[in-house]
Amino acid sequence: MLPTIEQARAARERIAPYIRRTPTYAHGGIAYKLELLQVSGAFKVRGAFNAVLQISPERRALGVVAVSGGNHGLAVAHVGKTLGVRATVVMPETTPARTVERARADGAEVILVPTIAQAFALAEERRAQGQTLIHPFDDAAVMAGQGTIGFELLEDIPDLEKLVISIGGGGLIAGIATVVKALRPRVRIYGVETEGADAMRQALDAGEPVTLPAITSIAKTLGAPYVAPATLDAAQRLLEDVVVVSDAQAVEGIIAIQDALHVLPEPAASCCYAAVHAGLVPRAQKGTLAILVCGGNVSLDDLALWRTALAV
Amino acid sequence: MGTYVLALIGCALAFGGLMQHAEIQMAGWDPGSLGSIPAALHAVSIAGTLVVPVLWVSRALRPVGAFLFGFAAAALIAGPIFASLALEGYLPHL
Repeated sequence: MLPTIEQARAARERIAPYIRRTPTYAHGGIAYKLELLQVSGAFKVRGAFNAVLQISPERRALGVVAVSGGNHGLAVAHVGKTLGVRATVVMPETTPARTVERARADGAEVILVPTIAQAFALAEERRAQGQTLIHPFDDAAVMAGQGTIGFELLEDIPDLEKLVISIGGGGLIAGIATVVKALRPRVRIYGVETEGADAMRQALDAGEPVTLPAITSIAKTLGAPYVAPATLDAAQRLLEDVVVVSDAQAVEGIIAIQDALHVLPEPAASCCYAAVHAGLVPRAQKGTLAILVCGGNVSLDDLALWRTALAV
Repeated sequence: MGTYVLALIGCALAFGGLMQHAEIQMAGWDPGSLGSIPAALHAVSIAGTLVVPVLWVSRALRPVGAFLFGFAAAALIAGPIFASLALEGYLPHL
């Protein structure tokens, strides 16, 4: 179920003491919302804080559990540490070692399992034992938390005309679109995915959620194997289009953003830049086009590897 | 009596349909920013449905009824446009 604008407003107030209000910079006629400067390096803490803060003290005492091989896991670990809640993060064994180490450093219990399906099965077991599952995207509280970015965008960019946001499971774009469309219905919102992690594009084409057989994109943080019915509904009603770029274009976007803004985004964020510069998203006519740079959990080693592999 | 019933049904369909269309357009828009616009549109829809048929059955008042029909329909069509302007901050007093 999608959140309401009132739920997003309440979320903004609720999570304000725990998150950063990230800056927006203009460069080359495009506004960039640098959410990669958020605590834990990505937008995910907004939703995680909003969800955990609404759990009753009795249930919070039993702990929370999350399934993630990336930013959501780091966010739940950070939230657990900040709020003093026992956090368990179930990760696939392919998760980068530094992500596992960061989650453990925040005090989370990290359990590695061979596949994402097994990770969800284990999380369900933990839920049956009393821990609260914090879903990465299919949760109205999580979406409302991510949607708080929408308020900041509208405050920072009064003439916002077009907004470009990447899509994994769709919780981020659904939350932001709910807020932005409620306050400025004329703003046009575009979603971006990478080839091999295009669950939303395929779901839109099929008219129903589609489960991807595997995530083959380097943008692992976009690697939700499916989108939720609620986020698909949001995409159908609130988005202009969902476009898909290649991994190579996303890596070129990393380099371009690093050159322009001196920050290092992950491919799940730079794919938006790539979509705009490839002409897949039309430029703004009278107002401002904004790109959400949603995360920066990437290492220089990753970047070097991708540049070699993709000849970028 | 037949004229009144037909006019009543016609107005209910016309204004109800336009109101429904306006609600679909405004669905999800921030209720706090819209202020009294949705309530005003509902009032126009109901008042139009009740008043226009009464005027329509009177030959002398039919022009007034026709004017009110057009006025109410225009208000219901333009309502979401005003609501959009209110959201953009162009109608701060609503």
